[in-house]
Amino acid sequence: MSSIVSFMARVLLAQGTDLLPPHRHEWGAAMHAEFEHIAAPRSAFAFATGCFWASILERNAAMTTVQKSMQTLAILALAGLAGVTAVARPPHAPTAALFGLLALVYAGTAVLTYLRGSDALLRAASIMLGLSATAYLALIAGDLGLANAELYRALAAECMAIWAVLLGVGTAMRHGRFERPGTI
Amino acid sequence: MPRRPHSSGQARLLYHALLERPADWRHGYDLLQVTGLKSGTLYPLLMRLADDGLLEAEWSEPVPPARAPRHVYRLTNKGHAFATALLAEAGGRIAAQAQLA
Repeated sequence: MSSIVSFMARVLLAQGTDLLPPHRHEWGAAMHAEFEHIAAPRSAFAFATGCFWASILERNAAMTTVQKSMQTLAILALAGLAGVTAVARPPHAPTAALFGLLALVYAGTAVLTYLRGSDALLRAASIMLGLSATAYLALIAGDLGLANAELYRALAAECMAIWAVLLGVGTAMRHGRFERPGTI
Repeated sequence: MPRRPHSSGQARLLYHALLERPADWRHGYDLLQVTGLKSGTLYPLLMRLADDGLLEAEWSEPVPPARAPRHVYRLTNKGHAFATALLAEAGGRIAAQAQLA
C-alpha cells in the first residue's frame, strides 16, 4: 500500500513540476530534492499534492492575460458542450452511448486544459479533429449500414468544426507561452 | 487600505521560523514542519520572497546518509530587517490593543 502511495506521490510531483514555467524550473528541482528526503509515504503524498497545486498557481501566474482569457474561454466552452451533450437523450441506444462518450471527452478535456494548459488542449483537439474527420469521410464514402447515418454524419461535421476552433484556441494559448523571463 | 506585500499570516509564520536561527540555512521540509504550512503555501511564498530579494536560496552539499543536494533558504539582510520590523510592528499593535481592552 505504502509503495502505491509513494508511487502516486512521485507521479503527482513529476506532473506538477512539469507545469512550472521555465523561470521556475530550479524550484521544481528543489521540490524534487526535498521530496527525496521525506520517508513517510503519507507525508510525501501531502507534500507532492501541495507542490502540484503550487505549480499550477505558478503556471497560471506566468500566463499573459490573453492566455488566461483563452484558457477560460476554452474551459467554459468545453464545459458547456459537455453539459449540452450529456443532457441530450437520443432514443437510439448506440447514439445515446456516443453522446455520453462525447460528453466525457469534452469534460475530460476541460479538466486537462485547466491542469495542463495548451498542451492538453492541442493534443485532445488534434486527436478529436482527426477522429471526427475520419468518421465523416467514412460516412460520406458509402453506406455503412448504420441506422442513424444522417445524424452521425452531421455529428461528425459538427465535431470537426468544434475541435478545429478549439485547436485554434489552443494554438493562441500556446503562442508567447510565458511572459516572465529570468531565474530565481 | 491595501495590505503590505509579504505580510500575510503565513509569511509571518515563516519569518518567525527563519528568525529563530537567522544565520542557518533551512531546507523546505524543516520549514514545513516548524511552521505547519502546506507545501502548496510554502513554496510560492519562498519564490515571492526570493524574487523580491528578501530570501536567498542555494543548493547545499548532501550530508550522509543523504546522497542528493538540497535547496536551502535563509533571509537576506534586507529580508531580516523587513521581517523583524513587520513582527515588531505586529507585536506593538497587539500590545496596544491589549492595553485598550
